[in-house]
Amino acid sequence: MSPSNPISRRTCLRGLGVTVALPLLEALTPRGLGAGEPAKASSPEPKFKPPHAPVRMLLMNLPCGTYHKEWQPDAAGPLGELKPLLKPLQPYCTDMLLLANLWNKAATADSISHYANEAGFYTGTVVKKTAGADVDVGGISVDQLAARCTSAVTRFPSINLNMQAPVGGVDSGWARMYDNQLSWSSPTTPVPNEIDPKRAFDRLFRTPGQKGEAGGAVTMALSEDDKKSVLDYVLNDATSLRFKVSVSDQRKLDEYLTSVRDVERQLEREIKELAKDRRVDPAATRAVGQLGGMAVAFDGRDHTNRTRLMLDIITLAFWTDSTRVASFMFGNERNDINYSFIDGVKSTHHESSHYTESAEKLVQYRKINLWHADQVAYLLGRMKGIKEANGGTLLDNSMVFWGGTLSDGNTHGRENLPVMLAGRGGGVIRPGRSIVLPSKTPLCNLFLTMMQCLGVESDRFADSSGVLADLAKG
Amino acid sequence: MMRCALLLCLAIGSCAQAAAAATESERDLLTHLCISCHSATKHKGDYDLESLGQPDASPAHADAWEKAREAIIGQDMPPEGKPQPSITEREHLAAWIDAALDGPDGAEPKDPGWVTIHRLTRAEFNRTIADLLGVEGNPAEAFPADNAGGNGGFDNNADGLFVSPLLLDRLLDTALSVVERARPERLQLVHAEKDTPQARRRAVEQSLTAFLPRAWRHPVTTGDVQALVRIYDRAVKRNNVTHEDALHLAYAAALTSPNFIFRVEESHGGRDPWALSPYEMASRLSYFLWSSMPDDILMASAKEGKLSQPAELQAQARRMLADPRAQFFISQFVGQWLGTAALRDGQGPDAKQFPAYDEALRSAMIEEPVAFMQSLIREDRSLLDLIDCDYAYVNAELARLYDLGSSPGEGFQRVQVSDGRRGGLVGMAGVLAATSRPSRTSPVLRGKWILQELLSTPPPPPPPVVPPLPEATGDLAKMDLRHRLERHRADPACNGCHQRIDPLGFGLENFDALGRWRDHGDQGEQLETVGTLPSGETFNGPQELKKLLMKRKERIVTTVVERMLSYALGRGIERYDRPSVRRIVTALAADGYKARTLIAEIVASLPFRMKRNPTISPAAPATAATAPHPMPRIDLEPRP
Repeated sequence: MSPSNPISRRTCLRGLGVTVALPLLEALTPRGLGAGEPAKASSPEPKFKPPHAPVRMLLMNLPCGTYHKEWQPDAAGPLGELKPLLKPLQPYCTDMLLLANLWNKAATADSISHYANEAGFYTGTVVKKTAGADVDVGGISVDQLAARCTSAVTRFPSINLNMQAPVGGVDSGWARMYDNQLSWSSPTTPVPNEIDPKRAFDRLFRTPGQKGEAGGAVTMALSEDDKKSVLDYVLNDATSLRFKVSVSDQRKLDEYLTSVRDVERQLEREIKELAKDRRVDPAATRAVGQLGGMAVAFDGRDHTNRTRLMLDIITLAFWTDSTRVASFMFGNERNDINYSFIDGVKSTHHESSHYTESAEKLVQYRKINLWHADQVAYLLGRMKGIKEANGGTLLDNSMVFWGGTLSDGNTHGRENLPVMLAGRGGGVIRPGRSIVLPSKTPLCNLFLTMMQCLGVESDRFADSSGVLADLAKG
Repeated sequence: MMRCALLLCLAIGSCAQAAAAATESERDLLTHLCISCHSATKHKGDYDLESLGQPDASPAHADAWEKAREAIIGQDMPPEGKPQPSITEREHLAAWIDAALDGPDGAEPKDPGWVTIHRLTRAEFNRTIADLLGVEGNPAEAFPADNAGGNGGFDNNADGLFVSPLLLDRLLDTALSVVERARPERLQLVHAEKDTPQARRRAVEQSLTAFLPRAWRHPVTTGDVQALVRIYDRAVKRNNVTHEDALHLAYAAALTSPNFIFRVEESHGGRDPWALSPYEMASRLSYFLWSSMPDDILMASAKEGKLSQPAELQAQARRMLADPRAQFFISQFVGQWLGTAALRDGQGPDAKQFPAYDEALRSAMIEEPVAFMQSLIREDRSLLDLIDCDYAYVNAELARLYDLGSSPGEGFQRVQVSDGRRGGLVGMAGVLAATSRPSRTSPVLRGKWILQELLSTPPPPPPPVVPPLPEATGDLAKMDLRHRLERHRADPACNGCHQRIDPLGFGLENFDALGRWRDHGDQGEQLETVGTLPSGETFNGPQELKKLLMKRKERIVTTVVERMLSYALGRGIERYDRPSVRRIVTALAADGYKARTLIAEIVASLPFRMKRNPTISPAAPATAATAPHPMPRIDLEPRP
């Protein structure tokens, strides 16, 4: 941070208390950039100042909107009794914020497509309409931007999980792959999601040079030396191949080259981390062992169990500080998962969300919404149950975002998006309230605020106009 | 597009003369049908056809003419209530526009277009590893799922096949794992003459020299081999690394190389198209028909340079099609085109609500159209059988579902069907189930399926605001599907498309969500399956629907050609492919639409044999520079 900055991040995090946090967030606000004020034309290059104790960010989607009037509180103020569709979260009402009036302006640039809404949700940019030959979301997603910074101190830049496999093809001129992707490492490069809890577990917690335990005998991990040697080789190979092919092919090879370098960097970090005497809480190590057993035993059938395994993996990845950035998708935005495992539900999420013509569909839509809230409650419960070295819980030291690209699934309303933020972001955020922001407050203001809590010294993200100072006010 | 049409009006002053040259009958028809609304003064929908004059090949006008062509052939225009042309007249107008779009040189295909190099799909990786190393199974399961699809709708579309750090990380481990499990003779190992480090190293060199051209599907240089030998060298110097481990590592590196996981095609530079090299041709052919690497016979043909000869190319294609490996191509193509493969991922009916829908039935549903297509190819039958025919391929499960009486015995058997219910794609349970909701049929999904997958005239997306009701009432809930949809269609915002979609779907309401025949709807109501298309044609039930589809056989065959060409090339079909597509359709029409002719013509087509450089600017990260909002820049280098 430049010397002219009045307060360092560290001071901010040291004070988990009420009185310190409020002025601190304001101090984090770039000068002349209060909420609602226009951003400066050029942004200084943001730096990363790792907070004293780790702060984590989890982004979770809420596909197909909600039945809004049974979701959002009627007024601003302390969170008392939650609306029916958020009932499962009642035990955590003092740990969370409900934010009204956020919107993602860029998503409104084209019609009502789920695809543009989805792919541009974490990028805050206008998504190019294409059948697939030239996908382009216009920007990098907030999780990936943050991960570029936080990866300096963790083994994995980010983990990205989804409950639904990619869906292909074209719908109404849109490449359906947009719908599978919230995370983008560049405007043209989607970050693949893990859909198998066993493999997700294996990647995070296996030791290099050993056979994968949870993933079964198929994975045979290379030793570090082997990996380095092969990576060096393929890097040269791809570089010389680049001269022989056409322009569009070069872009593909560049994807390959970028991936090689990323894997190399990750390998270096792993070696560094292993050399260190990492003081992981023995309880965390035990929990990892337990979860590994559960992942191996899981037969892949029960959707709720599968969801909870995924959420457990994220919890442990945070607890062990393997990564500080995660994204979790309950399904693609046009969620075609069949929820008939819930009593009284006979349809997919997407089908029930268009409830115009049928009271019966609305009943099912509510039930599916409730199921989602149940899973979020499970996650918050797990995170709240973990005490960390700085005295706070894992939830206190995190920011759990749960938000939808649509306010109402039936009309595809895109103003006043349903957004919940749980956790204290390491002490900066004051939860337990319903906050009504000015109408059409950019969603990217929230993302910017979250990035700053992680330690990213950025003053701008996509169409942000400032940070949400309200988050810290008591 | 709308603005584009307006700009065109300004840009083309000279079109008045050109318009005069238009053939009288077509021009009259166009004036009569279209220009009363889309005139220079009225330009309804911001679309001015009058100022466009005569169709021509200039790129500036082509888009607007394509739009007109699609609206005419897709029966989107003229709107309901206006005079409607006959199907013959529509086809005539489309042909007239096509001919003009082809330009003065005629319908000769000139532009082969380009394809981005393919990263092997997960399925292709598995099959290639099986053929190369003799390792069966699903090693690519460890890779992140492919972002299937993109333009054309097939998972082998090169632009939808990304490379990510996660993929590369998994590839490293998977490559070593499959090499360790390889059948020794497949690694083409040469044994060391003596037990000395030098002799062993020499054996490694010789082994890789033999193995690498097969793995990379083209000849390699000494430098290529030496780079891998150096991996071996470095590995054996480390403690605890055996000769065998080091050797395996070098092989694993060869399979991690872009030369293995990409189907590399070299650029010749410049603007002119070039013919693919024989080895590139061999790979195209084998990944089209086998989803795998070329075999020794094909590689030998490439080595002798014979694959550049049309007769040899056709002979190889015929040989490969007769090989059991081609079965996989048919199931990939059919499953992805029809959407029946998605039943495996849980799309369609819910087993909980339809107890008859067990695993055996689901597999049978996925298999039926594949068995059908296999028979078309094996027996070289007419592709029109896809639309309507008097036979079906069923197994015991489907025979029961279709109420065909006794079980036909083991596996899939051909049975005669005479009542018109089955026979052809729209009577197949897999298609009917894949277009159903978990709890019921969906005439909208089925109608949309016919428009999109058979006629290639998909409806546009729904309007921005689907009108909500304050609260759904009890009466609404009781209303049957047809009346609820009629209510929906009463809204003018919905009617434009749903008058095209719904009648087609209702024509199939005699099939329930599993594809079983029924006379009554979900609520016991007598089904009304009479439909009227925007063209005024009326039909009742699937039998008559198939007759109407047969009247559009040119359109449907064109769709089949476009889809298979798209699969063969691994890219979407572009405007410049139109002449190639039309040439194939013409050849098929002249030959009784024989299925093998389709494959022969695709293999012979210009875009399959040639390519050119892309017409995109070399400024690769253009998107970052033109992003609508400046992004914060992040230092990408890891910190010390």
